[in-house]
Amino acid sequence: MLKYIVRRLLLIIPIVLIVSILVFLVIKMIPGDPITIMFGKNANAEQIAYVKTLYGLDKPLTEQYFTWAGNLLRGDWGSSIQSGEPVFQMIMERMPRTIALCFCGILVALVISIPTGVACARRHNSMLDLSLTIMNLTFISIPGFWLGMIFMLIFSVKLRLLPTSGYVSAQESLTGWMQCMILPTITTAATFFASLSRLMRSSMLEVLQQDYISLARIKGNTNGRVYYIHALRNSLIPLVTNIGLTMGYLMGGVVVIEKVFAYPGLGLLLINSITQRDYPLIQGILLIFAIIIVVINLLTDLAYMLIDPKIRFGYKKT
Amino acid sequence: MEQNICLRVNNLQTSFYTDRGVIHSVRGVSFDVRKGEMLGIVGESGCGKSVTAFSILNQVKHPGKIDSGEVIFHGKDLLKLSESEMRKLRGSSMSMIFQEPLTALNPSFSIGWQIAEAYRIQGEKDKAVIRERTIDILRRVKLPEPELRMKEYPYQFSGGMRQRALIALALACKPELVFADEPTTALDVTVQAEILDLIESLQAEMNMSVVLISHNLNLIGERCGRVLVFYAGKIIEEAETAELFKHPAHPYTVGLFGSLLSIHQDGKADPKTMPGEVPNMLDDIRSCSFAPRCPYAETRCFEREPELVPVGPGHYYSCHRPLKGGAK
Repeated sequence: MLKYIVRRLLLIIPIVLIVSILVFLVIKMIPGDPITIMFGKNANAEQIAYVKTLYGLDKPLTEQYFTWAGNLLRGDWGSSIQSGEPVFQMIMERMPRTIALCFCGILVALVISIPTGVACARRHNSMLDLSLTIMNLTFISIPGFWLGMIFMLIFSVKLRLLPTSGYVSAQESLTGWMQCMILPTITTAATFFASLSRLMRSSMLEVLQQDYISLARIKGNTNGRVYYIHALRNSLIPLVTNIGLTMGYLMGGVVVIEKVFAYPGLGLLLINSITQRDYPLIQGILLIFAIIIVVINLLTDLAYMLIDPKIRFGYKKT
Repeated sequence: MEQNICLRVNNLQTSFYTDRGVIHSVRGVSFDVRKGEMLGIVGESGCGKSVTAFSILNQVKHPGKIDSGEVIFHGKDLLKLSESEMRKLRGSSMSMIFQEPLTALNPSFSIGWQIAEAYRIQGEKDKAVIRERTIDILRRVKLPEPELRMKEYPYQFSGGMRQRALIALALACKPELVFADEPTTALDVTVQAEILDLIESLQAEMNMSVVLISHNLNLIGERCGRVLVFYAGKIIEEAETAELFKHPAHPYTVGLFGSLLSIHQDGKADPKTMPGEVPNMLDDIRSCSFAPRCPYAETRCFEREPELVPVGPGHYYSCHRPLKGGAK
């Protein structure tokens, strides 16, 4: 078990290596550079050249890469060209916020999709099933950022219940934090609870056809126990797979949602750093995203072990 | 109801409402199960044997539905009971041994947990007692090392052991009546006899009635006192096993005997196959359902469906042109 986790964590090394090279090359292919953006259009060539040498941007690409990668190995993620702040510190300040948003989003999505999926499977082909299906398909078809703006329009602008955007830290004011978390969380959840609910429904329907469900009923279990104890655990496996797979997609979605709500997480930082061509910052953030996704995949596999005894004990024996 | 009757089924009808039309799986079946007996139900696949059992337990799967009939157990019609009343009665009195043990055991819970659950539902709260009883029932079905194996999961068991666990699970409910739906079909021939011996000895020990469902007439003949022969969702012949084997009256039953492989045939006579196929259950059958395949069919067989009528004590058949004295 421990061996397995360590082996999986070691996988991060080659992945980070490949991602770092790709990220590095792609960024340099985007036209424009941070120095020109910093000075504006009428900067003189000498100044630009001077600053470029300062940041090492005049050196060949391979040399730039190895300098950056070498520093990274020593724990130095470089500094932002724009603000001069250390990249690692900037990331660490914002990462918890993005993780919190993703986590709350998934939690809300699960809280909605599991019961609705079970309800649909329980009374499938009923009016309830049909209306939930229509609702789900509607949400699947709506892009997250648009939904975010609509929520903002309704709850913040019209009803004035919640702040339109911005962020209050939880240490400052817990209620303030919760208020500014609500809309981004719901928007994040809305982008994928519907597909989870559909998946839950179909997976549950399949499980309900199994003999062990009949047997559970014959034993005298109540309906609630049949659905939530005997059937749920077996129908969760495809759901966990799907959450693991959509995580990368979710991270992409969160970037846009953070922008819509001006939520100061990694996503917003990434968008700003890209517009300013802040190379060290972009590289650092993308690298962190890659690591987060690898870790999430590991967590997904560990979640399987909790659910499926076959996997749990399979590893114990080897 | 007479003293020695455990379950009475009256005119049970179950259909499946599919997109292609209504499949009439069970078309009016009536029979009794006596206390302490082993009743055999024999017939080809798709003739409604299993659906009958599932209907009695009220476990017909979607899109199936029980259309009409009565299932009288303990003086009550089970089909008229509410979900919770049914649950109380069923949990303690009727149970089922499934055909495919791998799909009948929940893969996510240990064998011990699944058996212990049955005791918990019966109202036992003391954990030590539950554990003791679980071990005891596993020992009774001759599962080796029950204390250790009860912690394992279904995938860690071999086919035969799974079937034993499943029997333990069915018996943990302390049933008066157990349906055994092809309990040995998924098993090796060598294990089959062991499992059937086990069911037989436990039946005597716990004084239960067993309904053994199988397509194997030999197996039914060896184990059961009485036999119901199913064809196209109906009982076409009912008799004591000895009587049925000596004097089969319905041409279909005779055909079943003809298709049996016997070691005593010295390899001279090949087993006869019955021509034709089981009728399409989507059709509304008005004639004798066996007529298209029957070598003795007459005009009236295609015009009117025969009723189940007695030929002798406890021997019934539904045929316009029965074979008397066993034309085997």
